[in-house]
Amino acid sequence: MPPSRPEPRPDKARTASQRLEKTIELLDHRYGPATIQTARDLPLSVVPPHIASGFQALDALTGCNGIPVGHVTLLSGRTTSGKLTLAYNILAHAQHGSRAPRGKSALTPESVGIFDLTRSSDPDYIARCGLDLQHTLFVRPPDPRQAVPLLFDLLQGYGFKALLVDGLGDLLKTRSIARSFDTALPQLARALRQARCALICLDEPAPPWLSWLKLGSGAIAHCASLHVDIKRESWTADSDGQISGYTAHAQLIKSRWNMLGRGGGDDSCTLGVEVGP
Amino acid sequence: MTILCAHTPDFLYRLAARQHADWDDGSDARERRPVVLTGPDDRIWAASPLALAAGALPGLTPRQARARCPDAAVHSLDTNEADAAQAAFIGVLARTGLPVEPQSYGAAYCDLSAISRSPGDARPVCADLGKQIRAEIGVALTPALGVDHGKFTAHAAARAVPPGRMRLIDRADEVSFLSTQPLTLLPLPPEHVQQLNWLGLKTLADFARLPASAVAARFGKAGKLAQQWARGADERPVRALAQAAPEAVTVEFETPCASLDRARDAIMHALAPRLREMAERLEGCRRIQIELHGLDSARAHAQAGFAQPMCAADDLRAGVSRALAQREWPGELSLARVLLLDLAELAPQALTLFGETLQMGAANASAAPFARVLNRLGAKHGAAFFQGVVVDPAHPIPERRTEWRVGVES
Repeated sequence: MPPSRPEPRPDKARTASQRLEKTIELLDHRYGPATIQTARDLPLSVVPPHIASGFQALDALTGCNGIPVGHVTLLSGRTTSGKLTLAYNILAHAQHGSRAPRGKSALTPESVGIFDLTRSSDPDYIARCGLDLQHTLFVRPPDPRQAVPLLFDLLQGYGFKALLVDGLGDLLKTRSIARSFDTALPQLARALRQARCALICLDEPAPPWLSWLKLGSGAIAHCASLHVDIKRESWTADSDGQISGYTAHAQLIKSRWNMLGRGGGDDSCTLGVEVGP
Repeated sequence: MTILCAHTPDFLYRLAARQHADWDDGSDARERRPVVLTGPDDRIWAASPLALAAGALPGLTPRQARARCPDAAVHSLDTNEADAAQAAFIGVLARTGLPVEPQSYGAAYCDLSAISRSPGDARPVCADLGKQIRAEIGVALTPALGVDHGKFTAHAAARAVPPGRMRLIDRADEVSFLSTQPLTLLPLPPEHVQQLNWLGLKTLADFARLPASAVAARFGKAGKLAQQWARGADERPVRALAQAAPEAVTVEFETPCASLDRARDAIMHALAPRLREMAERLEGCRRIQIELHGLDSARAHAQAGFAQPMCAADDLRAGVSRALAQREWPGELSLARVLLLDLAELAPQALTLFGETLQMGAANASAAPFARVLNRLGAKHGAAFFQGVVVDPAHPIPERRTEWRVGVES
C-alpha cells in the first residue's frame, strides 16, 4: 500500500494562497489588470490567425473562420472531388487577404508556394482560380526525398503566407520518405507556428485495409489541426451549357476549434465552387 | 514596302556637345574627359563615346556610371532642347507627307512605299531628306540612313554606316547583309542577349539558324519575333503619327485612395497586361501620362519620360512613382487614367559583364518576390523552383496557354 501524502497544514496553505494573491496583485500592478487569469475566466474559444476559404459555410464549419495559419490543414477527397480547386481558392485568399482575389486587388499580393509533387499543375487554371502567378512559387523537387527538407527550408523566413502540398499520398508511398515525414511532423508544426504560415496538404482517403494491416501513415491526420473531407456532388453549368464550377460536400473530420461535430451538431456543409472564365 | 530608317548615333550627346566645345575639341582622345548626361529621372540618358566604351550605359545611375567610368563628368541634360531638336528632326520627315514613326531620340522610320517601289528607287529621295535634316538641325546631328523592305533591316542598315551615309538593301541581299550583323542589334531583354552570347551565338545568322520551336520555348513570343526579324521577315508597317492614338488604361479605386504606394500599385496592376503585350511585340513607351481624378471632381495631370522606350515593369514603376510624387494630388482619388505614349521599338541592349545593374527600377520585393529563395536555395536543391506563366490564355490547345520557367523571373 503506497504511503498516503500528508495533508498540508492549514496555516501553511493559507500562507501559500496569500503569497499567490500577493504575487498576482504585484503582477497586475506592474503589467496591468488581468495579466494572470484562471482558466475559468478565459474565453471559451480563441480564434487563431486564419485565411478565409472564400466559403462562409466552410469558414463557420471549421470554427476558426477559415484555414488556420501556423497549423497543418488536411483536405482529403478522391480524385476530382474538388479539393485541389478549393485549395487554390484558399491560396488566392491567402495572397489577397480579405480583398477580392480575382484581379481587383491593388496591393502587392502575399507569396504562396505550391509543392507540385504530381507535376500536374496547370498555371492557366490556377490563374483562373484567382491566384497571382507572379507571387506563386511552384516547387517540383527533382528527387522526392528532397520534399521534406525543401518544406523546412521554405519555412525559414521567406515570408510565405501559405504552402500547398499537392500529392502527399504519392510522396508517402515510399516507406523511407513516409517515415522521415512522420518523424519530422512535430518539428514541422513548430516551424509553421514560427513562420506564421499555413500548410495545406491534399490527401486521398486511404482504403480501410491499409489501416487494418497497419500499412497506412496516419501521422499527418493526427498532426493536422483541421481535417476536411471533400466530395463532389454535381457539376454546375452556365447559361451556355459550359461547366463553370461544381457543388461539393465538405465534411468536417477534425477541428481543434469546432467541437460541434463530436457533439452531434452540424459537421458538414455544401460548397458552390465557381472558376473564373 | 520601302522603309527608310534615319538614325543619328549619340543624338543627345552630340546635341549637348554643341554647347560645350571643350567636350569634343578634337584634341588627343586620351586627354578628353568622358561625359555622361542625366535626365529628369536622375539616370544616365546619354554618354560620350568614351564613357560608353567604359561601360557608362544609359539607364545607370550616376553613381553606377562613376563606378564604371571614374573620370566621367556628370552633367544634366536639357530635355527641352532635346525635345525641340527631336521635333525638328521628325518635322523634316513629316513635311514629305509620308507616314513617319518616331523612335527614340534621333531615330525614326518613314514609309517611302508611295514614292518608290524598291529601295534602289529611293536613293534620290533619301539623299534629299538627309540634306534637309542636316540643314535643319545641324551638321553634328546628321543622320545615317538605311532603306529596306522591313523596319528591322532598315534599322540595321542605318546602324551599319556612319552619319551622312546611306545603305540601301535590295530584297535579294537582305539575308546576306543581316547574316554578318551582330546579334546585339536585336532589342531582346539583356538577360536573353547574355544567354545567347554564352551559347556562342554572335551574329544574326547564328540566331536565325536556331530551330524556331526551341527559340519560342526558351525566349517566348518576343524571341520568336526577333528570330523572324533576324531572318529578314519583318512585316510591321510604319505607324503614322496621326494613326497612333493611344488607348487609355483606367483604374477605378473601390475605396478613395490617398496613398501614393496604393495608387502606384493599382496603376501597375492595371498596366501589367499591356506591358506584357508590348514586351511580346518588342515595343516600349517613352512617355507615360497619368490623369488623376479626385473625389470632388478635381483633376491633375502627371507625366514621366524615358530616354529609351521602356516596357519593363520595374522601369515603368519608377516612372509612375516619379510622376505621382511630382504632382499635387487632387485630394483623395477616385479614378486614374493612364496613357502610354510614344510607343516605339525597344532599344538594343549592349552586352555587359554585370548585366544585373542595368535594371533601372530597384529590384524590390514585389517585383521579384522569390529572388531570395532562388538565390539561397537554388544551389542547394537544384532546379526545383518554377514559375508558371500564362502566355496565351485564349489558345485553343490548353497546353499552349502556359509556360513553365525554370527559376524565378526577376
